[in-house]
Amino acid sequence: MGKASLANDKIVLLRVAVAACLFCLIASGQEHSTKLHFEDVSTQSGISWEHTTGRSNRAHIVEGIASGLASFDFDRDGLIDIYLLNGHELTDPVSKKKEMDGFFRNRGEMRFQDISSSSGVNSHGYGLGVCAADFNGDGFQDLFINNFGPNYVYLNCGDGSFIDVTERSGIVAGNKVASGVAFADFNGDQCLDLYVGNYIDFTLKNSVYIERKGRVYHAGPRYYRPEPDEMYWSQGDGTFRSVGQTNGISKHAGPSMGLIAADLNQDGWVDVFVANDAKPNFFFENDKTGRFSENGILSGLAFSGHGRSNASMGVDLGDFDRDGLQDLIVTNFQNELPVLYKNLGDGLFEDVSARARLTELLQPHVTWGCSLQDFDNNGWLDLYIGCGHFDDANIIDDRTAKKVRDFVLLNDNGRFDDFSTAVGLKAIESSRGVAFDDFDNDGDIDVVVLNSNAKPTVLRNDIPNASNWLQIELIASSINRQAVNSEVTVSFCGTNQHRQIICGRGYQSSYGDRMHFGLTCAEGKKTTNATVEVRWPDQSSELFLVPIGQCHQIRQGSGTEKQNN
Amino acid sequence: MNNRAANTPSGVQWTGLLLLVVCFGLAASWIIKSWSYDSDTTDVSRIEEASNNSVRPSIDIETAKTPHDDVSLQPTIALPRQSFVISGDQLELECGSFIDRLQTNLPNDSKALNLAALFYSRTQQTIKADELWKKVLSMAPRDLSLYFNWSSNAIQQGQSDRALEILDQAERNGVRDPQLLYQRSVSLSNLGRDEEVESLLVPFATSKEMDGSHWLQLGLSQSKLGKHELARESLLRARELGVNGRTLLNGLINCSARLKDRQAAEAYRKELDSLKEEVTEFGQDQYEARSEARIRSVSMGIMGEGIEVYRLAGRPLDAEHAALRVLALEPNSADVCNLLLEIYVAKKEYHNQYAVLERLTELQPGNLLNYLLMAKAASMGGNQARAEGLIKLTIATAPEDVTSWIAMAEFLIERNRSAESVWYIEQAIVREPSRDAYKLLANALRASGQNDRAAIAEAKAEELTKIPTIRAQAPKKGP
Repeated sequence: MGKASLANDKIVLLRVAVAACLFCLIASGQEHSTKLHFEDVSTQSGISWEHTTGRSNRAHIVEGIASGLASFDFDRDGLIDIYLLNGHELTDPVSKKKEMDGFFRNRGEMRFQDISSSSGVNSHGYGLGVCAADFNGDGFQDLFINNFGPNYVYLNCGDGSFIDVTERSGIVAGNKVASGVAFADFNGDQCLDLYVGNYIDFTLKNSVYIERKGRVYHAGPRYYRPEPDEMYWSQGDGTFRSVGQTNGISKHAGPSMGLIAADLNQDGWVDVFVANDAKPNFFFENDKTGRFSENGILSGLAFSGHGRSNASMGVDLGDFDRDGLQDLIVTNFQNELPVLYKNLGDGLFEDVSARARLTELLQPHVTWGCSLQDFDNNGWLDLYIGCGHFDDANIIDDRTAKKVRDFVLLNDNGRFDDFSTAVGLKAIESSRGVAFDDFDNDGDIDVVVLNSNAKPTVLRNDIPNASNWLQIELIASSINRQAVNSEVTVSFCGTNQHRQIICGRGYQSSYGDRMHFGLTCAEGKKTTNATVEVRWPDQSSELFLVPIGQCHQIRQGSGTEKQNN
Repeated sequence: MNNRAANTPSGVQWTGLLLLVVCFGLAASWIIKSWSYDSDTTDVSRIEEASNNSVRPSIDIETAKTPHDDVSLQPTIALPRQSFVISGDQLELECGSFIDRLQTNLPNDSKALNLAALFYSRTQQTIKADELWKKVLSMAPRDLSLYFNWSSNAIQQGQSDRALEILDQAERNGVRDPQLLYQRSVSLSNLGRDEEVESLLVPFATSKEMDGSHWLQLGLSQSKLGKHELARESLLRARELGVNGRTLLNGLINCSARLKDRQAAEAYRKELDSLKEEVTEFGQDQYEARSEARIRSVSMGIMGEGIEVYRLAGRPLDAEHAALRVLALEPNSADVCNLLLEIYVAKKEYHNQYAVLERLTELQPGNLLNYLLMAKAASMGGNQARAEGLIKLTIATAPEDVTSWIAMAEFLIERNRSAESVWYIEQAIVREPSRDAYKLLANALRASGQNDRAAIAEAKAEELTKIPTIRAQAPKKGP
């Protein structure tokens, strides 16, 4: 009896050991583990607003591409608020729309209050792109809304309300199909200028759809003529003048979608990358006078590494491999992997999507809002990719569907791994614009996803932080108080992280005015301060020593001046 | 005066005889002439029309066609001249039904199942395709196309690692081919394993089987590894081997830019700008093209391949009707006509062969072989005159091409007209003397009792045999 019992125990132990080994093997299948978790707090957030495309059942192209969103602290209470664009029934794009954009004031702890009706922002157009920027330098961020239909400029009055200053602003735009928007100082006069993306010459009259097997499907941009983008220079008084026709921008017409205005060739001047839909992307290089030449092909940014013109959607900027150069992530259409363009310096870029191990699981899906953010505060920029088709694609293609789950890829030393399910992504929607900010001020980046024809998804980042993070908000001395296009380098424990402040990013959206840095130190080392070097828009540089684990407002002139070599 | 002299005709009688021969000759020529042409047109006008027509060849198509009263070559098929209208959706449904029937008719035929899987893959039913290929694997583990198509499906699904597993399976089953090597290199590159691509392709580079697509992939991978000088060389080699297009040019631009060769980069950029937009099977192009053009292309391609599957499976009726259906949709498909021709050759239906070849001569007017095949079909169908006429037509069209002269000679020899064949062989020899031609001449001369001349021809053939020829080296097999 005793012997049998001993044998049984051994068998049990053996089984446990085998199970443990198997568990370890499975767990070790991922290159690194994570404590990151996204909790879906959409229901608790108070955002009951629902996006609509109008649902015409005519597959108008604008319905497929709507919409972007903006996250910004409109009332300067330290909590980041959300503005969500909406479409409407497409019978007449000029008339006042019944469906409101969603404006939500952050009340803290991931709870939001609907101020859509009371804010004074009442855009009539079919909302596609938006950007929040303090273009008059009063310290309060204003709004530019890029519509299918007339565009709108709303001035933030500073008292919680906005007024329509479209006509006064001089930003005259006809009834075009809008896309991304960016504010930046293109001509070096310390004022925030404006880049307005335009898509195609779609109207309800020339709308095209594809009929397959008794269903209606969206036709792509190739059925239309692309519209050139526009650039407006600030006149320093809250008004703008159009310069696109003379400075090289409007010479090129592409079906623009997401765009980024940043110094992409390290010459201190702001360039523009435009993600074009089914045409080569544009790379407008600033000649240091505010005039631009288009060098997409020579720079390596026009096509994917395979030489294809992808149907590009969204774009974000970030130094994913910590080599000091800002790289680009661009999302695309189905059967096109998002492209990670590594900045090689000298205005050259290379498609490193495969070498950086962007998961091929993304390939079958249409991808939209995207960002390079350090979600797990390990000092490396991770990737969030919003996914979703505009048609019931699964009927004609078993590799994708209208509603699919988004992706989170975590970065470890410049290589990405898919942790989407591990971090708790569950929502199955058709995502479009995505915003990334620390909405609950707990030292990590949260996510708000605008879903097509659905309520937004609000994800709270629950990573245990301790104090290994730093947030910086810059305040410049010029009219460009937001310090757009400043460069920030944070040095901590022997490592450096570089960022640029940009205004307008992702999928026709804007977010991230407050820069977030995840910080790590080698084991055994304890440092409580980080060195912050700021190169301001006027090219002056200052150094700051700041404690970590906090958000700091850094004013120009309050630091130690750094001599530029 | 002897008896012989008394029996010789007189001068008057000779004159009368001569006049009779002349009259007979004139009458005969008149009769032949009236039988040869339609009464409502003149020879001159038709020849002038044929030769003046810059689109059509100098061969008179009208003359080549079957005469209305030629019963021996009356076909039992009618090939349409205009395509029947059908929507892309209907065509895809029809192709789906075709594939279903193919699987029902040939449930254990690996080629049939392979084709069905290909259809599913190309219509984005990738999971169904994958399942079917697993079945094909058990039936035909050494089928190259299985592995190529299956791995392509995996790549399409965004599963290059799975594609590699499939290719590993091919290796284990002893299936090696440059195409699979290419697939492996693409899959590895998709996974960012460009070092392995280089290790794979560089040793293969000395092989003659390394084609342009291999060099292109090698160049792209070398570029990703930062080996821009090598990458440029590889891409240029790909270009020499006929590769062109955006991928290549983009690669050359990138390499040149990174090598700081701005001039070269700019030149390639201009070349890229001048390229028309390619319609690829990726992304948005695929999505939109599925509306009609791609569906038609996929469906027609699949049904076209189905013809061959049925033919090889020994089901000529299925093959024939599949081919006729495809021609009803695409009357100008020379490929399908050729498939149909093979069916009728196998069935020895010369009248139908003739009809198909007639269509082929319209579609490929410069292809003289089709006329010779028509001649053969006419001959086998019992119409020797028609056959002879067609061969003479090819001679008239391409008098410097020895093929037609030899074809005529062989035709005459087969009909015991060796003496007549001699002149034709001599015409061929004048244009292109060869050992085989002299041997044929020797045979024809012997058959017509001209042994002395035959010996001279044989000697000449022997002489040509002794002249050394440069033989092509057999290509070395790759890994």
